[in-house]
Amino acid sequence: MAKIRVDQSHCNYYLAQWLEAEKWKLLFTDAGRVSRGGTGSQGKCLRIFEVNGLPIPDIVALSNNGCLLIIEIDTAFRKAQQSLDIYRQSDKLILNELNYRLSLSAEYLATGFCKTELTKNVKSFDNMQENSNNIDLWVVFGKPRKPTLYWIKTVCVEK
Amino acid sequence: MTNKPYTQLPLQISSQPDMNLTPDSLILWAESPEEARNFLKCTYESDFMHKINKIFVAKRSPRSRTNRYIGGEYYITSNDEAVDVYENVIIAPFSIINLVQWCTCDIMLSKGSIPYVAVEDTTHIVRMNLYQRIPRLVRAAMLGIPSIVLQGTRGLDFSLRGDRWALYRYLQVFNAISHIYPDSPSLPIWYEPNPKEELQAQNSMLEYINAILSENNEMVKKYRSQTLSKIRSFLKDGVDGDIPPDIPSLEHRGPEVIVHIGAKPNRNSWHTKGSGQMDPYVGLIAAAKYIYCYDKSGKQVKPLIIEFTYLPLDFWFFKDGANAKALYKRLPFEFADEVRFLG
Repeated sequence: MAKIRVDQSHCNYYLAQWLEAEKWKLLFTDAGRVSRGGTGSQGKCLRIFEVNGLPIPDIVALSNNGCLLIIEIDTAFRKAQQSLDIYRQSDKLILNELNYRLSLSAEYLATGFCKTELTKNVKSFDNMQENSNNIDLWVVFGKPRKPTLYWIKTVCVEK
Repeated sequence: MTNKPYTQLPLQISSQPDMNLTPDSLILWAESPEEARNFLKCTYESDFMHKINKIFVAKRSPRSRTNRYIGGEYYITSNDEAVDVYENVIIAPFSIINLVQWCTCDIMLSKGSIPYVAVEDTTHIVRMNLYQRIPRLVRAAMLGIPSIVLQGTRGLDFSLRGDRWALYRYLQVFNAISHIYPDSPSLPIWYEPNPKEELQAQNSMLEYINAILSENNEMVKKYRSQTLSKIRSFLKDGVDGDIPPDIPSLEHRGPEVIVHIGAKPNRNSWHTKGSGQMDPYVGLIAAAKYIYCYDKSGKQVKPLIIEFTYLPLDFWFFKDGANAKALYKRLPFEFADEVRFLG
């Protein structure tokens, strides 16, 4: 059976789909250099991060209860860690800018990491809280097309 | 519009195609899954009339820097809006491989193994690299395949004279291509960076693609005429009345067209980037050739000369000349009639 590549593009697409299905508002998805810029929230979001010298995230989404989620997608957490730390340290700047320029009502920022490639032992993430590395969400793909999300802090999913 | 006077040009491949494509299947050849998804999304939001049967991608992701597609390798996908990429590759037909020898377009549509149209979709344009996509568009035109460029103008500020000049210079090359290859022009659809204009431009692009795929010659001819007329109006009167002076590094008023390239040999990027220092220059070289070397009947009347002002004759980056495998090392020699190293 042909194997599907669970790479950054694949993860970005299916995680974004999952978030939309869960009623998150997708503000930005960056599957690479292709979809950058343009009009609408995608372009505005990109410019906010660029102008403020911030790393460019992979997904930015807003929940119904004001949680602004920024996700980095990579092969290993250590590659995304610096960017995630920067987002957390710049939370007020990011919230203020996005709220002002996109007319949002985001109240707090959460960060998440999504690992590319198939994760064989998805259950090993059950105790993620101990190893949370100060982020709010872990995402792995045990199978292609199906992200498994582990919320370290549940505040983002409370109504 | 004749269909299709396919011209085979020298290729850099040794593979044999192993595709089993029926002539009535509409195939989307995308640079990466993201280009394919973006294009499919546009078609769902419009009156696109054609069902895409198969989707193949040149690169596994937009961030991939590989160019194995030049040898014909394309990844199989799920052939749906998800465009899941599989590990398996196929070898594309010669017609597709030929088309991508000067870099792949974002999207190519073929019926079976016959390419019908190539598409570029970009939101940005910058003064310093106006002609970045020109080589691949010229390649399509040379091979009898029309193309269309959805061109957002973010990056240009039309209140600045320099940026009005930039749009003028950009349009010049499309006008030139239309004279040289009147049956397979490349048409830019440029738009201001706002959602309304972007949607209008997308719908216009799809209208043209619909007409090409339906072989509606009358509609195709009308669309081309309208677009080229608009371009020629800008070129005659200037963009808001501004007609730019010559680009300083381009000599074209004598018997030769000379592109002066001032890239210096001691820059690190020769070693660290696949394109070396050549990224903005390759497109400029192609544009210079087609704007200035041909007369209005499409005949080449002047040679194109490249002069590297600072690079010595034995500069390592270009040691293989026209036989180089890497695009940015090879293309200057493919375009130019003569390359001079003056360093």
